[in-house]
Amino acid sequence: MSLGFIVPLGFIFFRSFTIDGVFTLEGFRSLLTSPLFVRVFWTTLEISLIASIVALAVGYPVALHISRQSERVRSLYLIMVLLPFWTSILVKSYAFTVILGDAGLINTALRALRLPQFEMIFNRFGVLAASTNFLVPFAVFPILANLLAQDPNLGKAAEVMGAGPLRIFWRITFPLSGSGVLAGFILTFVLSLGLFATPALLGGRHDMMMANLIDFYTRDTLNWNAASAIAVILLFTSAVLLLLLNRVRGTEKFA
Amino acid sequence: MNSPARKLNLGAIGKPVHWRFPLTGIMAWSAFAFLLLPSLIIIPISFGNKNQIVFPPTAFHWDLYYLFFTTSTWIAATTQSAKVALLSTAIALTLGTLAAYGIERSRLRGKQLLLVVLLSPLLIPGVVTALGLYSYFAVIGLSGSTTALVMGHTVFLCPFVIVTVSAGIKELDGSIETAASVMGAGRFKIFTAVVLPQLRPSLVSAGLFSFLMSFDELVISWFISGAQTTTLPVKMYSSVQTETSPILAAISTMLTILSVIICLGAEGARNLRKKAVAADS
Amino acid sequence: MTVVELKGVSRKYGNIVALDCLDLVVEKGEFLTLLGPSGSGKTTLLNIIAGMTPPSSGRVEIDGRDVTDMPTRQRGLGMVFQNYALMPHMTVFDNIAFPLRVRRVREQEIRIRVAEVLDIVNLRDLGGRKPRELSGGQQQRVAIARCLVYKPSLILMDEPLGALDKKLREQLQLEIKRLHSDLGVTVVYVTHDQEEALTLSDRICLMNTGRIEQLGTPHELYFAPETVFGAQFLGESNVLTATVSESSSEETVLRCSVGTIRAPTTSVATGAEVTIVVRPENIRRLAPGECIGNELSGELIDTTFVGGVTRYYVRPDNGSVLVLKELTNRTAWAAGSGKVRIGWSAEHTLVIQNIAGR
Ligand SMILES: Nc1ncnc2c1ncn2[C@@H]1O[C@H](COP(=O)(O)OP(=O)(O)OP(=O)(O)O)[C@@H](O)[C@H]1O
Ligand SMILES: [Mg+2]
Repeated sequence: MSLGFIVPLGFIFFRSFTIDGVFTLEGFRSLLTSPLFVRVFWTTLEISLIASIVALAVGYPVALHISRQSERVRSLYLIMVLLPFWTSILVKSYAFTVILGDAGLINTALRALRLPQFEMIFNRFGVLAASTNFLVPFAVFPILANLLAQDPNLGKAAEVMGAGPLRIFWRITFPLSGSGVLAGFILTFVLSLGLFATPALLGGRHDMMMANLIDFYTRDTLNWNAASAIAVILLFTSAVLLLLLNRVRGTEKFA
Repeated sequence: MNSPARKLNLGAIGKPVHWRFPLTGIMAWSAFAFLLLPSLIIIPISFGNKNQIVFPPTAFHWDLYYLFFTTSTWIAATTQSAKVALLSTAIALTLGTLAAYGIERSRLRGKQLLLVVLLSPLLIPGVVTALGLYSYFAVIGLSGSTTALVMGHTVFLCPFVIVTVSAGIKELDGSIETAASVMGAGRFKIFTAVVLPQLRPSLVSAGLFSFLMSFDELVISWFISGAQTTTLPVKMYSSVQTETSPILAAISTMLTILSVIICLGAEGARNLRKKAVAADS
Repeated sequence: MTVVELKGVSRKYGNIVALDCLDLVVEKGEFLTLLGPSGSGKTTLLNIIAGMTPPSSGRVEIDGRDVTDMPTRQRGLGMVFQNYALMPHMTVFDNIAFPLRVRRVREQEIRIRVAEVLDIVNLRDLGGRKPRELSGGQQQRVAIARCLVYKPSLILMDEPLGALDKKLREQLQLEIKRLHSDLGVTVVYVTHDQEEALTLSDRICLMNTGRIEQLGTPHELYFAPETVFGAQFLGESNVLTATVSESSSEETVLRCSVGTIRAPTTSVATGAEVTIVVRPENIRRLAPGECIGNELSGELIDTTFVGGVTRYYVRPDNGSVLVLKELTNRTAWAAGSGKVRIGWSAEHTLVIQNIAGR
């Protein structure tokens, strides 16, 4: 059954190194010299980096808040993370076009208040807002798992010694959650590398990401060799990061 | 500790210094709003004006839903998605459960590696899988067929089933199976009569979420579906640019409701499992 | 001088009464142990003193001030946990320096004070290590040092030795005892190990189902238990029910199923139903014809040899089995030797009044 997955991957590797069945590195060479690819590559990294960092910043307080609830309340809060998690990314992206568009909710409201309006769609802002929204649950889960695994006596001990909540957080809880944050970062970063619908729906011409470029080469220019080469690069980047994630998980015990 | 202990010559030590930190709750609730509001805002819009988005809606009618249910292409896409989701869930559930059981109960040496290979589609970008399947189906001449879609979705769902069912198997008491085999039950008998009934809650939740994942899946379908086999997400995706009517608001609302129902169903299955565990002990 | 005073403190969790209207005074410099079976409310009581659990009713005073509504961190206490609760990401030095940094002590002074307490707990050169690089016993010493370093007026310890093996536990008991007497700190210590309580304590507070069963020195608790629970929890006991048949200024005579029993004089009225307790080590085998106050004959039903002591199980002619304990010697009875005579002197009969509701 795993063949179902291995075989298609094999095809990608084969295609990326061959043109008309002849071995060549031409695909990779022309990609690396193509301004389009280089631009898309950096755009992808930039969007992924910013979106994952923002998602972590938004997700951390959520995880912290949930971790401090009693078990029953916690499962209620978790539903509020799980619901968006299981909502179709297409629905969420569409929702953002409705909210952020020129005739969208925010701009309509601003217009009604006679305030200046903003372009928030078909640009970087739109992609980042919707991507972050998609990534937050993925940031919450590893951080929450880490926070729940922390020894509650550490906080109590610090409290008895006179430490206030802020000091307990910055000196104990936060440093100890480092591995959870790192795991969350790698996870969200890898997921955003592969974003497809969000940049297509909310981005402008300059916000194309690697998945969209693969689509472009496959459908519009029928350049399967280039498309496969991009897929290999994407796969390789993700795999390296995931191996890193595995290392982080392995060392989690120590923290 | 044989050193002579002395009286600590410490003088009075000052008072602890600290601040208040009430922000977490506010930040968490803002985040919940950010997570939930987009999908919620779509709901009133879906009952609003038929030709363009007006917010806040000035009237309440079912026009958009009526439009959806009377447009044959939308209905065809929805039926196609349901068909693909049902078939691929059934296949993935069968294969995934067998694989999970085999992996959990075997002492293979390459078990860890096998697991990594089996689970990797869960994390590598969907577009890579999609392109691979696309090239593969093009070569074997299945491009654009429903069979290709079902196979593609099965590949995409299997790792998820394996993870979910493995977690369920880990909770099982292996000694019950040992007891059954001591009593003379064969491997097949043990699996169907002992293992599967105990796994029912995991299977229910794996099945429900697999259905949802397949029903909502865009990237793979976008690459491998054809004009005759368009799924709902594919049609939604291609119509965002062209459609002027906010019919997508109605569809999005229905998809959100489907997610809620499936989450609640899975939650119910989880509670059943908890009850079963509590009754056991 | 009083360090802690609890006045009518109760704590309820839903229907469960974890502490039931409890009064307790801890004096400065004393070592008070809370002893009791699991679920008797020891941890709850400790948490109420620390301020981590608010009492459902009653007041808590520390150093003469009402602190019932004062948050934990302002109470200036120290606490040692069973699982050490050392910060895993900080070195031993930073762990011990933590309470000083909270108090904004200058770094220079911190170094002096930390070195001092590390010396006291004999971990002089381990300041640079992380907690996970230390043994369990060493970690608990770091936790104790972390408490000593800021001189709290009271140190709370919740089963601090519970995670250690028997040998190490005994060694650390001695160290804690020495630290207590050398440094003059006040300690409230929780354990469910009676030997540990007897070894360490100035006073023991015996708890049962959220109430104080008895409060007194280890001696008082052992030799003069006030309740049957107390008699059975500390040391071994033979328990019989009896009726007072005669009460004079010299002795009390009781009647029970095994016959007539003599006890020291008590204030119990004639005719009252009481419980009598006799420690196994106070019962001995009697030579034929020997009289020591209370004598019984019965059947020897079992003998167990546990090293230094031997236990005999004797069923009196009417009544349930009694246990007696003797230092092992050569002339031990052999099992199954049939009829024997046993007895104890009147002063070893403990008479416990039956109090309604206990
Ligand atoms: N957070 C809580 N919620 C509900 N009930 C509790 C809670 N904490 C303690 N209890 C109950 O209060 C009673 C006393 O508990 P406590 O932890 O004080 O006992 P303990 O003497 O420390 O026992 P142990 O020796 O097992 O530590 C128990 O019946 C316990 O079930
Ligand atoms: Mg306890």
